[in-house]
Amino acid sequence: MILHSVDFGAAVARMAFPERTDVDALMRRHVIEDLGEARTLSDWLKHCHRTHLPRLYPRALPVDVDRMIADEVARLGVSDDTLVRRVGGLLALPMTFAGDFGWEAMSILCNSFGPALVRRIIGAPVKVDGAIVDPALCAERMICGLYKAIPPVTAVVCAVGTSHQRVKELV
Amino acid sequence: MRSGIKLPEGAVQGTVRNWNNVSSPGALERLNDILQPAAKRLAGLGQNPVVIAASPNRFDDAWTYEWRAVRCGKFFSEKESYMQRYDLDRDMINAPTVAKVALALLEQLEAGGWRNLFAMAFAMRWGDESLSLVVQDDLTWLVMSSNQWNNLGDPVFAIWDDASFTYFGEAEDRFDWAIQDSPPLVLLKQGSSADR
Repeated sequence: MILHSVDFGAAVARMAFPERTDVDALMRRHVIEDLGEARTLSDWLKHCHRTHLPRLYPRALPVDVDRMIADEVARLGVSDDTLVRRVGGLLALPMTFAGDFGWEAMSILCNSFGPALVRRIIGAPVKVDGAIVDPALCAERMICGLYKAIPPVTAVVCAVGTSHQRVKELV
Repeated sequence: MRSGIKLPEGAVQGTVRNWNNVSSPGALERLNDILQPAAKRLAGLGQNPVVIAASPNRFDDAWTYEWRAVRCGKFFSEKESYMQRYDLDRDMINAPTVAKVALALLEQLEAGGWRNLFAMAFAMRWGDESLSLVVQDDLTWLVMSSNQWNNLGDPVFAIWDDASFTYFGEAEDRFDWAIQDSPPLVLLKQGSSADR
């Protein structure tokens, strides 16, 4: 569910393989092959029990991604915010494709899978302004700030109301 | 607290689950038997507020620990604490005596199986929810918080000296974090926006 979409999944794949020019077509083929249709992130979310998705901490609302990034930069004590911006941008990427679902879409990557994906795409810890910055740890702290928890990825996956095969029948 | 005491008005009751529906009256009675004296002793500490809380897994996706928290007046500590902000064992060394008594009461409730009794009474299974005993403004409460992805609400039960505890209303979402706030317990009231 999290990466098997022709829009959001393809955007993540482009970040992971920036040198490739055929990612969109490849992702589309792959999604259709696996699911039988060119499903988007919004399609997935439409089939979720939205009340089962992890809930944002009430006092974290409304989510302000810029503030979230600024807070993390301040915690790290660095002046170059490039890396943290990339982390915040990746975590908030589902909002670009499923903005209609409001902040619920944040739960797509703001879970235990998020830091692992950040490590894979943005990379291992690096030195910034003399400090060691671990993008995955930045992601975890941002997620914890939003949810006051690291929601298990199963919480998101289990929110899907039906299997993709069944959804196809319903559609 | 004694029957007849004035409770806050306008509290909203949850719709997701009927907490007046008790699955095991025997478990409820046994839970009440250990809650009543604990609430009385907690209230007798003379602090406002006092909260003791526990959860099998408050926020860690790895599901590897039991969480405990103690709030006693201005004192707060917890174990485990995200990024080791607090350390209950360490903080208890120099904690006020009243906080140490509160922690001892929490350990007694744990030994008495209060969470299991609650689960039996209301036919639920513990996941990442937390259970708290609260004294605030001379009123005594039991609060279960659904934490971050269960949707059972944050039911608040009034604990009585002379009767079994009763469902009263709902706290704002995530009481497990509100424990650190002042006041910790904020009841949802008619017209509040925290419905879910």
